[in-house]
Amino acid sequence: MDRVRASVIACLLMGAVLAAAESGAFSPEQARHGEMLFGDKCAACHGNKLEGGQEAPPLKGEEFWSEWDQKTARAIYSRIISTMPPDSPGSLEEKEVIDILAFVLRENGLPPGTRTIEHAGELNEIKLQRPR
Amino acid sequence: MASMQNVVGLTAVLVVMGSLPARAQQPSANGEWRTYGGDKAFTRYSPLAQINRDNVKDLRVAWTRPAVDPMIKDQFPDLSPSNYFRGTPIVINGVLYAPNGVGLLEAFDAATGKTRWVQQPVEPTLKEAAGQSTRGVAYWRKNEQERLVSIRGEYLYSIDLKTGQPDRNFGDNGRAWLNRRTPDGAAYFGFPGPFVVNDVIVIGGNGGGKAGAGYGDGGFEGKSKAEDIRGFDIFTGKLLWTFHVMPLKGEPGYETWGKGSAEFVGNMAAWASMTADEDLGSVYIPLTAPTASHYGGHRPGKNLYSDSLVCLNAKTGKLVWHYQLIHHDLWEYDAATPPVLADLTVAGKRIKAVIASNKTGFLYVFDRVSGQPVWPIEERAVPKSAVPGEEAWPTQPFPTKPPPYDRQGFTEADLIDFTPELHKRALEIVSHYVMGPLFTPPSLRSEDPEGNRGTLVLPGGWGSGNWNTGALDPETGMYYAVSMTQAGSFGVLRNPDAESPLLYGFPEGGRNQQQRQQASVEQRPAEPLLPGQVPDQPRPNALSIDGLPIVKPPYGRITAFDMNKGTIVWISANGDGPRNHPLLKDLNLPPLGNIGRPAALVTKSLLIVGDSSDAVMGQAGISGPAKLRAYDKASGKVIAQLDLPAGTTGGPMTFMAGGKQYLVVPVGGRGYGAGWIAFALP
Repeated sequence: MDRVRASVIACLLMGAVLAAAESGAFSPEQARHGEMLFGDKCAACHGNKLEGGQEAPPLKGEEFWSEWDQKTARAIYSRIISTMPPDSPGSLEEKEVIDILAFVLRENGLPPGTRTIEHAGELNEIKLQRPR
Repeated sequence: MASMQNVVGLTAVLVVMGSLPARAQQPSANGEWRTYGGDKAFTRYSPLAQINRDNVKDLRVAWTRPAVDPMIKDQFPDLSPSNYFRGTPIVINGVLYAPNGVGLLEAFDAATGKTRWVQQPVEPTLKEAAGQSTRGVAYWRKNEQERLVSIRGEYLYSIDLKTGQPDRNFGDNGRAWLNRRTPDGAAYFGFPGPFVVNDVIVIGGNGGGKAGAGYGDGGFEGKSKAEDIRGFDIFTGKLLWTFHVMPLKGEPGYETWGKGSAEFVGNMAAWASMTADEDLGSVYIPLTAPTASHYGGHRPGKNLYSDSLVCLNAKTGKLVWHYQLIHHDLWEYDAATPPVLADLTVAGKRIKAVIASNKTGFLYVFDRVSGQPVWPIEERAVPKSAVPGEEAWPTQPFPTKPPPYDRQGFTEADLIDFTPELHKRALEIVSHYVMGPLFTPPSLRSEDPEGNRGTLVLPGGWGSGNWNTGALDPETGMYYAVSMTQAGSFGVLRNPDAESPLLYGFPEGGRNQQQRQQASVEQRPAEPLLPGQVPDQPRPNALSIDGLPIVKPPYGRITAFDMNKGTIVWISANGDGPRNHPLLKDLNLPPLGNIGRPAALVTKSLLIVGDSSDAVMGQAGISGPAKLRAYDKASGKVIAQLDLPAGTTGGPMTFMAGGKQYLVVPVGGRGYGAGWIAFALP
């Protein structure tokens, strides 16, 4: 019985996760704040339009999705918070990384919604799917 | 296709070995690999011969190891290293030591890859565990004492080989702080790692300012701190000396900076590895471009010691000799290549030489004792600049020997002509740019979309040569230059900050978001869209047709030089390149070479070079899975190709363990992650 209940919950959760990824897992304000942070902390290497540069890969389009499709948003969060920016890793705060991530997701075709991500733990629930 | 035919012809015709033996410094003994470049001459050479041209095809994966040890990963679940994993291990007495994916040192068994110890972050927090890999760790030994020396973030560490614990007598409880006082509070960072010369740790590295992504290369910031070279005591971590890459007032070279620019211009870091002749007590340091490397109206003059090869006395930090390879840099043609030491025999005379290079594709060869060029280096006139306020230096150094290892200058003859249609499309793209010979300066970018978009340059800002380029066989005097052919465009725009001494700037790479947006987003002319391209999609390289470079191949190549004669022996394209691109697949083309920055390893009979990773540059030029290739070092012919799970991100190295020769290389890439992979015979 417990196993059945767990499966039902997992299915419901999965449905919610996929819906969240496609219809807005973050707020417009988060993405806008993330855009400002990206300009200050990331764009010098990754480019204003996330097009990449000499020492940094593009963060948009095929280059982005070939790395992150079907992974959780937490995986990108983890990469950013443990390696970026390369001249000062560890200097970004949890909330800053979440907002930067919201901006990057928006730029990759995932529209914002009404939800505001408050903690990194919430990113575990967001599975990324390439928009079709 | 003319260029590829030339390459094939050269391969066949120029296979002649240097007749006179030559020896650089002794390579690592006993099957070890004591510096990440193989030895302090940075030969990337091992005399090991168990893996050879007859059996290299039989190599199998012996072990693999993730870029971060699971023990650390369990401790910090969010720790996720970059795919750009730089660390080439060293081997001491059967143990490998290397910086891991976040820059912490790891020790692991040479034969099995199993963990011996992992350096712990100074505090058990994710913030302290966060980091980047560096290219390698340095090893020091004297009598019975030995240490590992590494750079992680803003600190220099001294670590015990047996335990991984810091030497508490070194610096502040095991580490020394490396930050410089900069106008914008930029932190020190240095990916080449430290270099140990006798009892002195010599440090280069970046951290002069936040302009140009911390390298000072682009943007509109004209001010930063000079990234001086420093010597630290191996025992105490105390600063022993500082060599000013920007001469102070009263020091020679100060006069090469006009308009008082010596007081505010900086950067010029050594961000490739140094080399050293410990018998001479000399360290050889390749320096890079000054702040805002595409416009120099604010810094008229030759600008010493930017883009120079500098020889210092490692004990005192005093200048022994220097040679500036680029005057008044406007192209970011950094000396980004370790200056390889070689003992050569030229015209019957034995010479202790140093072979320097930079992004131009030239080899500059000097007597490393005197600093005199082995073959004449001529000052030749180069084009003037039309950018207001810019005074391009009228001449640049051109080595008369050996010939360059990659193409230089940009003309219509460099454009692809696989088909008339492709050539026509390439002609249309370049019609919006200025073209010219090597050292044609950047031009003013027009606000008119149909106007000038800049100067086309070959090599581009990545260079043909880079940190990966050189490897030397000390037995034969052969030098192997691994390079890429990639065009760039340099167009400058008016600085929106009217108060800045920098009148113009190169917007790409700038750190100031407001300036960048004002100058580049609003005013930058729209590039023509490629067929099928969505307007808001990123385009890493506008100088391409459906992802195909507009310049002729090979895009990645290896050039073998007989350095006793200063001549090319063979050239080989490294990998298939885009020969299977939809626009080319029916043309039955030869290998076109994979673009990127792979490093070489030379052994008794082989030259090992992999494909470069897609961690930074994208998928450009790679058809199919990444490979590790074994070449016959005498002829340049591919003997074997081993599949890799991802492209190489650092140099391959080799060693003996338990009577078996191993070959290890760091790899990383999208969809794989990062780690080390070891090969051995069954």
